[in-house]
Amino acid sequence: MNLVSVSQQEIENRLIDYFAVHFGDDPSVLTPATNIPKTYNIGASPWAAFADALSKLPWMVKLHVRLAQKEMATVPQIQQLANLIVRKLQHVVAVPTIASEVLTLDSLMKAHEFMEAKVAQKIRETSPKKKPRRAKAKKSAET
Amino acid sequence: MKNLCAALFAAIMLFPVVAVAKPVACKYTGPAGAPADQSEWHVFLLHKNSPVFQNYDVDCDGKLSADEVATYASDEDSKVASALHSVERHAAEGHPIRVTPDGETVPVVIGKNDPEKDPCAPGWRYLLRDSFEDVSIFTCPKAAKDAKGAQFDWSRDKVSDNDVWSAKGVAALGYSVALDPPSDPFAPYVVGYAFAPSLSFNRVVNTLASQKSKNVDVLSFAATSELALGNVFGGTQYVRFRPALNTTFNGDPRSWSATAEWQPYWITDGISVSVPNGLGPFTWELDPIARLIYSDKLGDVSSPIFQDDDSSLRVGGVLALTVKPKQNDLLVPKWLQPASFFTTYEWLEDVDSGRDYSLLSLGLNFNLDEDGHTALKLSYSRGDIEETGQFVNQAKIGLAAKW
Repeated sequence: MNLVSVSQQEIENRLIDYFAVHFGDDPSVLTPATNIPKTYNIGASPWAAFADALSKLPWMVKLHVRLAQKEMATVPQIQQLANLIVRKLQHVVAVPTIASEVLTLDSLMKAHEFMEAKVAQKIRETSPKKKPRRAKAKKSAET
Repeated sequence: MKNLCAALFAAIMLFPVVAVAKPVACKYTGPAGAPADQSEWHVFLLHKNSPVFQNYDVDCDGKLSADEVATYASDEDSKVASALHSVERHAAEGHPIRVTPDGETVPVVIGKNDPEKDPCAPGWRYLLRDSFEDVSIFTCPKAAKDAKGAQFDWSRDKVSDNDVWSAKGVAALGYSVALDPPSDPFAPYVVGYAFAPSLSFNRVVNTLASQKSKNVDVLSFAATSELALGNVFGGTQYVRFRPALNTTFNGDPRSWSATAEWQPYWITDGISVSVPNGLGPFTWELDPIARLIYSDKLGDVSSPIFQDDDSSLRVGGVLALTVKPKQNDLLVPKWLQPASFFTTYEWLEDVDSGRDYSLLSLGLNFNLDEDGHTALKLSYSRGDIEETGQFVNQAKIGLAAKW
């Protein structure tokens, strides 16, 4: 069994990267103290709609955290939003026998992406190769 | 030992939320739990006056022991951990945090970590806006700061000796309910619903008799009901229904109408709809609304929408574009941040007659106070008013009020 360690700072970094990309800014202009709806003129209802968009991000799905639209108005700052996500994490206490059983969220997502790429490659390799249509038509004409 | 450290590390990482100190409840020996003597009053007043004593003087002796001070220091350390991480991250990326002469950091690195008061909490709320588009969503309306606001103007033409008074806006009392989402982030669900009785007004009065034909006189009583659906068609969809009684300011009924609307919210990696997008130092937002209006004439009135028939069914939509500077001192100078540009184009076609009705509104707002309740507003409207079809061509400059 692998455990995933999740810190609030890791989540803040992911949120900063997400909003920086969405609004075309350099991540350096955002900090955990940045009030996202205020900075980007996001009204209350569009900000609420981000609850669904964020909940569908692969790392959020992995963490099993679901944000509700009605909670978004209370967490405008990155750190408040990250804190809400952390509070929603299922706190399962497990004692690993070796340190290598604990993964960071970044490592988990990288492993996940690697596995997905591997599976896609396997599907490509094992799928039967299509015969060229012309050859097939020629064969049927001969018979 | 190594295993123990790893276990401790994992436990810390799995419980990243640091417990915030709760106020200490001291027990006093006086009647009804009141302090009994001078020393108890000393402790009581220390706790009442100082949040530090209130939270950390656990043994209620009016002194901070070494352990209590250590707990306080540890809690304070955890509060700045996020900000410290931010400073380190910026330094590592070659963008060190600056400190201004007045001691502020640019960008801001420290702020609250607790949730704020919900401005869209379910329940009743009062709104005063320019139009229904300016309310946006009744379940969680635009903040006053972001709205255009109702406008009240007066102008005097000394050459023709004409005074022009005008007022335009919507006053509404909304009630909303928000629901919990399902655990599956991809499953469709009902986000919430709202109900809002409202009064919309559009009045232009010319005192000069020859200018009376330019007067506008519309007072509408309406009741809007709204339903928000999440994860439908790839986003959140708002559907609204609004029956209204349209009268004059004298109370003469002119028509009744029923309006159905659909407004989609889509957040994508490319262009988002009804949600701001970034463009250099600005944000721009495109809000499309599909609209269907049925109107029925009441009494003997003449309105352009009833020139062919006593009823009219119009189909069309509204496209609103809002451009605002990003509210970040690193990207936009402070003096420009309260400005905003908006434009709205409404287009409706009468299903029976094929007649088109369109209304273009554009303007510039400059908020005058921090909360944006008052603004200097420059606006221009040209086209047919939705309620009557009457043609207007107005340029205005005035004060806008928004709540």
